[in-house]
Amino acid sequence: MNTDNMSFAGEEFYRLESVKKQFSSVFGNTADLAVVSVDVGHYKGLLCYLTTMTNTDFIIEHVLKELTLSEHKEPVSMDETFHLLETVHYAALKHETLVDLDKVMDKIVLGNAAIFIDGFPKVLVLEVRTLNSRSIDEPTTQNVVRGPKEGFTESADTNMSLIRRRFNNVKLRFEKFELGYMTHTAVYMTYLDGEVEDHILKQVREKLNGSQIDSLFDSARIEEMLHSKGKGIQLFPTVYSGERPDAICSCLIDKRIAIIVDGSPFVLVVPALFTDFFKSPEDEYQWVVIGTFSRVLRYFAFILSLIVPALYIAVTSYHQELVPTILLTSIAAQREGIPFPASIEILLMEITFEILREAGTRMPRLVGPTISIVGALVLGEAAVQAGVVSNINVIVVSLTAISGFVAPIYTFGSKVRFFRFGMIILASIIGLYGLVLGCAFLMVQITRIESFGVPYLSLFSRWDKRRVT
Amino acid sequence: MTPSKINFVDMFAMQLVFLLSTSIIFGTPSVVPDSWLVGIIAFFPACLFIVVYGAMLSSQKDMGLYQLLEKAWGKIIGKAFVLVYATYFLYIASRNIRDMVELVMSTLLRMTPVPVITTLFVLIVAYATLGGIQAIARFASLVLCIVIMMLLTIGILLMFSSSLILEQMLPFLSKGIGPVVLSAFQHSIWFPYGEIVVFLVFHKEIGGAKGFRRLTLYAFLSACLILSVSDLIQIWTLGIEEKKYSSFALLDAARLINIANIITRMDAIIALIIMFGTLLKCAVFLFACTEGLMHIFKGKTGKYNFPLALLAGAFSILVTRNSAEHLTEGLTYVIYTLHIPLQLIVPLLTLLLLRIRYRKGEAT
Repeated sequence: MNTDNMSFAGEEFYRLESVKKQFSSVFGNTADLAVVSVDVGHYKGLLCYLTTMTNTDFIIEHVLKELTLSEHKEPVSMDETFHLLETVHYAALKHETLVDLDKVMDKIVLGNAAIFIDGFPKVLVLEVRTLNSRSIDEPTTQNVVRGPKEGFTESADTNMSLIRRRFNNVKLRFEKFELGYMTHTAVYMTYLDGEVEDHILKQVREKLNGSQIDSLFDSARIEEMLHSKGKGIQLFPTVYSGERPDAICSCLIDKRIAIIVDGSPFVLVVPALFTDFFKSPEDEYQWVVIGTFSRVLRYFAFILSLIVPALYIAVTSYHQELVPTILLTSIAAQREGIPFPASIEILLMEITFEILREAGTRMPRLVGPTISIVGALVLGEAAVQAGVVSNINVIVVSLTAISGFVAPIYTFGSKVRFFRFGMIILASIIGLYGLVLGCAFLMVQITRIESFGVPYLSLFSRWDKRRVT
Repeated sequence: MTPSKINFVDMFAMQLVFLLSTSIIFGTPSVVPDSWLVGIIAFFPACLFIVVYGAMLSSQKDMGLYQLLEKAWGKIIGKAFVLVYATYFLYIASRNIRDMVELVMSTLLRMTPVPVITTLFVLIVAYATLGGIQAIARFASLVLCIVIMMLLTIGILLMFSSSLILEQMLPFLSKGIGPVVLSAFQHSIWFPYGEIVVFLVFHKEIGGAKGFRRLTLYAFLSACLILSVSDLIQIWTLGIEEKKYSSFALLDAARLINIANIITRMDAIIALIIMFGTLLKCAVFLFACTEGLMHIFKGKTGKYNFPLALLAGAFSILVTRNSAEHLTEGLTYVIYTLHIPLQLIVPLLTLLLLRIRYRKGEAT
């Protein structure tokens, strides 16, 4: 502490001038720092906060009005003033009392206001953080027809409240972590106390505490970190990310852990299983038969999007005898005059589709229609008419493309696309045998993964209650 | 891997697929008329294996095949036996690979060089073993679903293409019961039932002697049922004579499926599905083999898997010159020189030695 401060009996009294000086030496000339001289009761005081982390109305309404202690006409002592402020005037705001100036500054960065009293050793720190955030909208990636339409926003506070208002349960815990040594981003581990297995909690805590990242702007960064690093490569996502509070809450009921990152509308859930990526919250809001039907449909689409192009290549270039004769002649008639072999043809269209998709997601919204016209008309129709690709090829590629987007979780769908290319290559080299080997590899891969000790895919696990991991 | 209790159902699925995988496609290897009876009859002597192996596991606490061998025969002879068993498992794995390759070659890929097919296959087998027995068991439960669905589909489709003719199974027992029983003892109880000896290695995961007895009994029952039904379907479609001389009877039966000229050539799909079963069986054998080597030579987990898998692949090509030789070797020589000694005689002797050397109550 600065020597300008008067020291007395081990406690240091803050002198306003020196506090100001120290603030300007630490914060420099940053424009959003407000250091305001105020009257605290009958004493001189100083109010410090960052204007970017709160809004002026809030400061005037809740902080400045109370500061003057207008109802106390007769002078009270400094101690009493501080006590009154703490217990009466700011009782509704989240507050704490600090002594160390460095800690006070850290708090100010997080959106707190500090009140110094001239010649008093303690500092009152109030939480005045009121940030403008996007209002609660409908989620953009997980749409439902029936069910709640709220989606998470970028503000962790909003997100936590979205979860809490669905869970009026004392057992719900939000455990706070700070990640990123440059950004100090708040990360909240959410779980139902007593429900989640301890070893999973411990592992997640260890991973969050042991992180060495410098910054964290989206939950995707820690998704990679939480992704269980077992033996060898893992191609399937083991972290679920959702934008819907109801989906996350149903995961919490299932004894999982949700992780909220401030600044990201995507809340993560660990451990995630293979089946989670095929669940949409809507399934549970419908008649059970329809829900099951659409879930089965999703699995089917997943398999379709994996193998259809590879199957087409294998069958047309190696195993023509497997195709029913009528269909074979029809395919052969269409492929007549096409200059490329089936594998090149498929790869050509698949890559074209990938480019279209990438362009479709990245481009400004105004030019959207252009892309769809070019994509659908020019590349689809014209390519067939020009004799570059066959009709059946366009059908195969579009079928796979649509099936690829059926998966309710986008990250899962995007991984499947990569496997598809692998399958295509395998099938072009050794036909159906390669396709089956590729499927076998994926099956082995799926069954090998364990996400925090929980098997990623275990068909019969629901009948096994005594599993110890 | 940390030792953890395995999912009971997954383990059962593993044993069942293990029993079904190759025998379902090669049928019960018997040149007798009522081959479906062979499967049923073979079940009863096969239960002897459960008794012997169960007794072995319960004689000592917490000991698998390899540890028991060493305990019973002493350090040096025991280790020799462990090596023999490891080699035996590797050899059966390579035979299974060969079976699979023959199948793929005859149904799908006539031109692809065998080494390519084999190498790719064994690499995936090795990869499957790296995850440990639990991962293999979970894989098995996936495969089991596929195999059972396949069998049901074949049955239903055959029915719809009106290929199932029940009279084809007559005359019933035209040569008396003698050849049927003989065939059961000659082939069926050693393959597939006797091969269950490999599961003694995974005593911990299978739940000791008690779990082993229970699981294996269920697996034997289901396998016996499924194999007999599949044999019956084959006989109903092909007739007794054709079934007897067909090398891949199930495929020949499936080839008869024809629904409105659209659903045809189901045999290729079945051949591909059988690959999953073979993959699992090879993975189990290979894993048992690597456990044996680790027991003797120590070393890190995953050190032996890929070399051994490649070795099994190479064996599968080198072991016989052609398909006919491969089949005769499998049906006669292997049974008398390998299966009977290693599945019955050595375990029996081991059990005897264990009983003599360590009486009950003084297990050390």
